[in-house]
Amino acid sequence: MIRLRKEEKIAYICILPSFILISAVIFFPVVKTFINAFYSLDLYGNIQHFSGFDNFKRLFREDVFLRITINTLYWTVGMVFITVAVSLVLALALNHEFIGRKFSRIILILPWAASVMISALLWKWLFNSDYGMLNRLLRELHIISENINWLATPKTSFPAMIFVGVVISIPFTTITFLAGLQSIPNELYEAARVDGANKLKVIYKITLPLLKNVFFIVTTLNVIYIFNSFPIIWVITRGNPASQTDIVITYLYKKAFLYQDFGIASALSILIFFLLLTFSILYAKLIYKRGE
Amino acid sequence: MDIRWGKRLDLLLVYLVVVPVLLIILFPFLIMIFTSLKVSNEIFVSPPTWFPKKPILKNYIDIWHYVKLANYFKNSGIYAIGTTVLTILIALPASYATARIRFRGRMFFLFLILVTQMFSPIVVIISLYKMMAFYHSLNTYRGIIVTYSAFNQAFSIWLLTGYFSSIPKDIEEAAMIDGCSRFTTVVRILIPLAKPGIVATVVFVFIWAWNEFLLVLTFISTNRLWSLTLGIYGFIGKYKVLWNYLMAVSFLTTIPVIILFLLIERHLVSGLTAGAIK
Repeated sequence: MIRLRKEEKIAYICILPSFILISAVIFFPVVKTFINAFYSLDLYGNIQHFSGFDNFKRLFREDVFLRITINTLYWTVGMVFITVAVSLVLALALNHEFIGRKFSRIILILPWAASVMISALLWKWLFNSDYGMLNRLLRELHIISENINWLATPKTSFPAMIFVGVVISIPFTTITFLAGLQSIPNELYEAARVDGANKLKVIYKITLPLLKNVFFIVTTLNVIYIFNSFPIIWVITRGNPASQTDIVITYLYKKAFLYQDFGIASALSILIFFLLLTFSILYAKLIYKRGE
Repeated sequence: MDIRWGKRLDLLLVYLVVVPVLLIILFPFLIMIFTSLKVSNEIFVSPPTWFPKKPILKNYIDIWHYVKLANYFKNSGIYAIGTTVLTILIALPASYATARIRFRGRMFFLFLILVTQMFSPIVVIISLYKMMAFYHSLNTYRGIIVTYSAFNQAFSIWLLTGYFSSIPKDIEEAAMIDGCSRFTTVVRILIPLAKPGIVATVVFVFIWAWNEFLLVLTFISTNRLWSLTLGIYGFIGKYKVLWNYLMAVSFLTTIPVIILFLLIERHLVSGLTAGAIK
């Protein structure tokens, strides 16, 4: 018993620096934001007086609030859905032996290794209506006959940015699916083959059910990563015109650091906090179910 | 005969899926390289040319004068190396404790760490900004390095804990019976054995810090302290965007991290999924 206490002491000393760092940089500011959200704040973000739910009410009354909520929904659901679907098919394909497999893995890594900011910038250049390569490529393929000004209206710029997000999210998702696929024992496939099951049936009856866990984990992680995809919108449209292509995170940033309305920004932070917390609890459950 | 045809059909399907997706992924990077080799006049030609008419490497020389590129490299290096060192120094003991010692609150600590992994910095950015201003840490190296380290604890601790747990305890126990102290055992035996995991963590954290944009955009405003990502972002604020220069800088910024990334890619999945997928 005394021995255990000594061990525990060592453990607490070991985790202390990490605990302090995380508390100071992440948990403390979360608490501070919570408090701020219920106070009226001046232009420098200093607390003036208690104001109850005023900040939240002002937020909901913003003209663009509905637009931004819808955008965020599209952004998240659309991007996660397409990313997961494409990555799953891609992982199934990459799980085969073929010539160029090693090389294709290298290419697949590119958007993951590069800065999201730089990827966004590269695509912004491609989307340029007169000088961008995308229009030229699509014209040569006879998909379009006239240059499209991709970033001129939200109708094209927003889907274009979702596309960029998908391209950036595919590497991690695919590689994780691949890791999941490779952990499925070969005997299962062989047994199915002996039983005379065809390829599709094998995928449907063995592969997909066994990937269920991986599937949930990449989906949750992707939802959260997408909330970190600030640079895509910030670099490509900056949420313009008139916040028509903003999502909650870019809008929050503008409210705080361009308009210095720290009250609304804090209220919005709290909403995002709860959204992310829901997903993290979901995620934690998935991880712990694996039997720690 | 039948089986061979089936195999060929499979292969065809594989290529039909893999080739288009990879081409889309490769496309911007190819154009980045082509654009970086064009003269300024050739940038603003419509329709644009696929390949530079006369490829030049001059852009790669000019950019060092056009922007303070050497300075940006230095700053990015300081942010990334500083973050890596601090993150590892703090995450190593914490990972050792969670992997080797059964202490009360262990699961709670791991849960806290997991929650931070899920947190977008955007949620805390306002309060963090105020805090940084209060401690005079805006526009400082230390402000960025400390913040980055906090956001990298989660990944590092999960990856390192996984690595430590996978190493059999027997060797350490034997060493301790032989009279080694706990500290010597960890330094002499455990850490060398966990080297692949530590290297993977180091490289990942380095790349993360090298590529980061949101926090450095918010906490650094003086040009003197700009990182490469800020320097590159600064291009599009200019009156006329010289895309050939921009692409050359992007190329120089991206290539080193891609090479580093390829070295550790295999180790990443288990860390990023908190050990749920090996």
